[in-house]
Amino acid sequence: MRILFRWIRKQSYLLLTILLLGFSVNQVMRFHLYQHSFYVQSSLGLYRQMDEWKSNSDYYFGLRAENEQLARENLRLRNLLEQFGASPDSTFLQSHYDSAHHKALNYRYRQAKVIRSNTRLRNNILIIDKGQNDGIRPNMGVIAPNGIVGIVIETSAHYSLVMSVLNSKFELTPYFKEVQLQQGVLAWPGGDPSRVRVMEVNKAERIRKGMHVQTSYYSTLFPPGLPIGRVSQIRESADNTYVELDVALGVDFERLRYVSIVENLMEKEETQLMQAHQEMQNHD
Amino acid sequence: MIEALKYSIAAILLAFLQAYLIQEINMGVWLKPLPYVYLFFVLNVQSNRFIVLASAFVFGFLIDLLSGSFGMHTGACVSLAFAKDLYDRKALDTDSLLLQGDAYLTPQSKGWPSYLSYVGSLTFVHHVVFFSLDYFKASAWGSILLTSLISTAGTIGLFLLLRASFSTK
Repeated sequence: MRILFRWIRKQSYLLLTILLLGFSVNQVMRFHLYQHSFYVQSSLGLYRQMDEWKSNSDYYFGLRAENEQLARENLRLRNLLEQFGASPDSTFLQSHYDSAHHKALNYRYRQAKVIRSNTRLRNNILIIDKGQNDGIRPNMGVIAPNGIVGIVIETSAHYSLVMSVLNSKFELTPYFKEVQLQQGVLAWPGGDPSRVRVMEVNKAERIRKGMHVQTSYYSTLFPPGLPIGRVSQIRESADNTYVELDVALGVDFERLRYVSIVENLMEKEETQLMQAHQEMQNHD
Repeated sequence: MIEALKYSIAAILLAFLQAYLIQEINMGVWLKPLPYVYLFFVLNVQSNRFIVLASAFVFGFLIDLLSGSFGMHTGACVSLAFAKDLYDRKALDTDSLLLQGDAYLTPQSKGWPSYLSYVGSLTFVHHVVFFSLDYFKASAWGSILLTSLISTAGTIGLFLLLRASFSTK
C-alpha cells in the first residue's frame, strides 16, 4: 500500500495531466456526439449559460442595432409610400381604386419593440413598448414586414396590449390576390402558431394552393394589400357549399421583435359616416 | 503576486482575442492559427509545474467556454503544459538561462534557431492535440498533421507579431 502511495506521489504530475486530459476528451466526446440533445434537454448547464450569454451579447452588440436600423428604414419607407399615395401592393390599387380614392390610404406608422409575446395559449397577446404617450390608441392595427400581427386593445402611458392574430377573438376578411377576391373569415383555430384558417369561401371560387392572402379594403385597421400569408391547404366544409383554407402565416410570431403600429388618419371620417348611416337606418 | 495578476490579465485578453477575433476570421481550410499559446512561452521557467498545469487547464477551459469548442482548447493546453515541462526539464538548459538573467527562453538567449525549434515543436504538439480532438477521426491523420503544420507556421508568425508589438525594446 505504501509502495502504491509512493508511486502515486511520484507520478502525481503525470496522473494529474492524464486526469485533466481525460476530462477534456470526455467533454469533446460528450458535446460532439450528444451536442444537440444536450442543448435541448439541459437548461442549467454552464456551457448553455455561457452560450446564452454569448448569444445575448451578440444580440445586444450587433443584431439589435441592425434590427433597429432596419425597422427605422422600413418605417421611413412606409411613411414615404403613404406620402406619395401608393400602397405596398400596386396591383391591388389598380384593381380596386381609382386615383380619386388615394386619400383613403392615408396611414401613419410608428415603430415599436415587442417586449412580451406568447403563442402557446388560446388567446395570445403581445405587449409593445409604445403607449398613449406615443400616440397609440386602441383599435390600431399592428404589422410586421412579413404580415399583420394584431390589433391594439389596451394602452397605458408607455405600453400597449395587442390582440395577436393568434387569438380566438381575432377575425378579418382576407383578400386573395391572384383571383382578386375578398371573401371569407380569417381566424386562428388554435394549435399551430404558423397557420390560420379561412372559412366560408365559396366553393366556386378558384382558390389554389400557394395563392397570396392579403388584407382587404374592408378593413379600417390595416391598409389594403398587406401580406398575411399563403394558402397551404384547401378542403371542403361539412355542408359541401364552402371551402376551408389553411393559410401559412408570413410572420414568425416566435421570433417577432419589432412591429409597426398603423394609424388610419381617415378613421374619424369613416366612423362619422358609419354613425350617420346607422342614424338614418334608425330613423327609418 | 503581481506577476500572477499580469499573466491572468494576459490570459483573459488572449482568450477573448482567440474567441472573438482570430476564430471568426476565415483563413482557409488548413490555416487555423491559435496565437494564445504565446502565453506559455513567456512563463517563468521556475514556475511551479502543478500550478502551470492547473492554470493551463483553466485557461483552455475559458477559451472553450468563450468559443464553444467544448474541451478542445482545454485538452490542447494541458498537453502543451505537460510537453513544455518535459522539454524544459530534459532539453532546455534552464540554469544557463537563469544565469543570463532570463526568466524564459528568448531568441537572444540561445539564438533564433534554438528559439524557433523550442516554440515550433511545442506549438506543433498543442496543435496536433487540438486538431486531433477537432477531427476526432483516426483516418483523418493526414489532414490533422497538415493542418497542424500549416497552422503552427501561422501561429508562430502571429505570435512573433504579438511579441514585437509588446516588446519594450
